[in-house]
Amino acid sequence: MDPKRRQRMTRRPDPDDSSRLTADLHRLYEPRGGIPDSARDEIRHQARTGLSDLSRSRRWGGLALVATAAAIIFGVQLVLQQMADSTNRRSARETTAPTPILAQREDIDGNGRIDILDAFALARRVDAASPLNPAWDINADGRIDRKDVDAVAQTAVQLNGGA
Amino acid sequence: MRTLIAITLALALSTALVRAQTPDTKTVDTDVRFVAYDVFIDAGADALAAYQIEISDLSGRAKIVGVEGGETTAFDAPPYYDPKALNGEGRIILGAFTTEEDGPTGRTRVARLHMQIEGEPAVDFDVQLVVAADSNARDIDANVTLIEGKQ
Repeated sequence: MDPKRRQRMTRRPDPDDSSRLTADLHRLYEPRGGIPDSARDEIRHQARTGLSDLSRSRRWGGLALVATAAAIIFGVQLVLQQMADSTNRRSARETTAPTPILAQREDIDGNGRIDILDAFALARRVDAASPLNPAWDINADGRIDRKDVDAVAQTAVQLNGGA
Repeated sequence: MRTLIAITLALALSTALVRAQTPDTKTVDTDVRFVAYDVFIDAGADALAAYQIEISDLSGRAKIVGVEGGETTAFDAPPYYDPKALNGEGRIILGAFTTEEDGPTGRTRVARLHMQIEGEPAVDFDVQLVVAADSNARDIDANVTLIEGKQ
């Protein structure tokens, strides 16, 4: 190998060379004219203000989101509550309204509805041993007696039917 | 995470608001008393042989807990009724008849209801006469009244 080249490769870095290189790099990349301190301060101030505004707007945005979500949930619950109330009222009306009962065996007097007079009519016929219609064997025990009268009367006073 | 907490809080708040707006129909009232109500039917000059009436509690504070018969031998047995009426339905249909005796005339107590009442003394009932008949099963004009009696 060339002795000069070997000398270059094994040569240790000179501290003076490093400082010169640093100085040269500074000169090369240093902004021309520099930035005045007042301008630097103003930039910093504006940056801080901007970040503060951004943080505040994010906070208000979050609150607005929560408020909107709460309003929507509140509205939905209100609508559901009203629907439930309406259903309950309708159900109560349907429960209270008398249900017409037509052409049933318990309609002894054949007036289209079952009331205590049907039981009364059957009881009178049973007591008087009058001819009895086999259809009046309400409890289907093969006999028409006081038990059938009771069955008719019980139908008449049912809360979800009868008269 | 913060948004999740905020939404949970909003949900709880809106639920509380809805509940606050909804009237509480299950208000607990410790003032409970038991009262007997006498059922009278006035058949005038006709002999009452059969009746059917319907009684409804309009106040929503009365619960029927027992049914008794009336004062005359013709109606001293408890009338027919639906046992469901004793489950807090607030409504009952009573019916009775007699085939053995001449029915009573004039104003007669035909039944007695025992009620459990919550809250204020005043309770409003709707009392309807469905039918009243004589011994020949003919409809008769009659009036029905419900009067608070002795327990």
